[in-house]
Amino acid sequence: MDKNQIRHIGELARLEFGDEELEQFAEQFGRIIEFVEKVAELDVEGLEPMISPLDEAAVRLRPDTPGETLSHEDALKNAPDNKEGLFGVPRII
Amino acid sequence: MELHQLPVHILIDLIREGRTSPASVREYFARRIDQLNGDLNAFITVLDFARDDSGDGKPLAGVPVAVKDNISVAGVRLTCGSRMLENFEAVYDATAVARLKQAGAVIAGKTNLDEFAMGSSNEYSYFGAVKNPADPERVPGGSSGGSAAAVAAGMVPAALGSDTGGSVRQPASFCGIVGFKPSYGRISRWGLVAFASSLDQIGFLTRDVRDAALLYEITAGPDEHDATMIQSPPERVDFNMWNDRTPRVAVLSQSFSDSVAESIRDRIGEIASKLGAEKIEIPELEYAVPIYYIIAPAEASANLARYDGVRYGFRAEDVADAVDLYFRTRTQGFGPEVKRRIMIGTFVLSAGYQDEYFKRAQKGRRLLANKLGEVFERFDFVISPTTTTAAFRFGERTEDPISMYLSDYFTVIANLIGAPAISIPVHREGELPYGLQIMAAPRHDAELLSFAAAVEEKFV
Repeated sequence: MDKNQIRHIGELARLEFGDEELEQFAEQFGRIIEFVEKVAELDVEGLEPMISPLDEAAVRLRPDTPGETLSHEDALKNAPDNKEGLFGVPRII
Repeated sequence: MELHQLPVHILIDLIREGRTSPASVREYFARRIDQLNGDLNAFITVLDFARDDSGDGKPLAGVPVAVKDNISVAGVRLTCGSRMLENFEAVYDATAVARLKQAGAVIAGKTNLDEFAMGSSNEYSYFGAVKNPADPERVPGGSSGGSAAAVAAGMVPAALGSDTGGSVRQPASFCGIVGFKPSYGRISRWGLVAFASSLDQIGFLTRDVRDAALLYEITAGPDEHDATMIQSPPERVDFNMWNDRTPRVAVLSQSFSDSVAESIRDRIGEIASKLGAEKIEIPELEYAVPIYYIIAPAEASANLARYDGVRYGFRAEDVADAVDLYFRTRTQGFGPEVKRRIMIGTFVLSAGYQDEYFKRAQKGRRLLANKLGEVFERFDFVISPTTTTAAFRFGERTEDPISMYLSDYFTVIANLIGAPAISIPVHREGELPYGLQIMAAPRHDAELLSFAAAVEEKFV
């Protein structure tokens, strides 16, 4: 795993690393990937991926009926920038 | 005995018999927290609960319960041990918290944890590490290290934690108390901040097995806010269940491998032979930690995408545009282990690698579930040590993430297959604490708790 690959994954994850940090990270990251690569040895032929311990979890849907939810005030309570009942964000254009 | 040495079920007996009052119990524990938290750093937020009589007259009146700081308590700061949520205030109660309050418990405060519950030592908290009450030079375990230390030190009689790969059982083992992770889908995840949604489960840190059963019965059962729950109501725990039945017990052969400390090996061997346990070998378990460290980071990288500095939490200043806002907020808001896991997760989910890593790990997870399913056709319980060693010293494993990950060897299995598992302290007098883990088939929580109480009576 080289520094450019790490930088690329960081871009996908919206994380930035300084040069020194990148160096240390690349080494650790490489070892972790090498460790989890052990799964390649497993014979998983014909097995379905297990996405949840509960089979029904994948398919259970609640009825689509309106109900009580967060109030406008509560939804905005933790906003870093809360202007006139809206989420404030930096100018993007 | 003093109040801080007593489990919840005895405290409520004393209150019922009029030998103490809810107010005196609350005041007593409020003082304990006040005296001890400065040294142990178990709590991030301590609530003023000494005069909170809202639960008086109910079954848990007077009982203060600590809540891990990744579980919502309405009106209280919810930090997840992260700079990202340093000033976040929860706007509703988690279902588990609401049910405890309905039963009369008061919430004592919010306990320290590894950032976003990612870690096995509590050294990755933005608010500083928790110390192990058994030996302050050592880690309390993680990620529910604050909850474990708070119970072990008698600051509260019981606490809620969360367990994604062992985060309740491992710190319970290191601190010398009971840690119970119920079956996946038994306790609502509503109000538990998501880390890895197919693995996360709320659990309990208590002084004995009866208390784990008590808190389980109060909080378990379907909740309309969580779609991933077992829909049948949980069974009540019958502590006489095994009086006239002999449980079939298996002990994992890995319990006796060189990676397990010698004294722990001996002790588990002694217990296994007294329980008539049959040694079984499951070679596929060697893949459990690698499978876990693909699936958990993958789910985490998706769940933590929500921290973008827009709707809540930390926001970086002086940003150029929207994308720069995301980069700076996340880079400054997250600590090293969280970044590491997001990066691993992003990588194993990225184009070209998804089949090789993520899908393959999910199939491996199915393989493990099938293998353990076969084991649970022949046995009621599978035992092992909870941890391969007792608590390690601060700084010992932070440089080497893999050695930290391997400390989850025995615990990740239950999360991967959705099984209930409990750690009970079995160390000998004079030793640092460690636990025996007992695991049952998914949905067999009541049988597990009943058996664990019998084992506890014999060996603790």
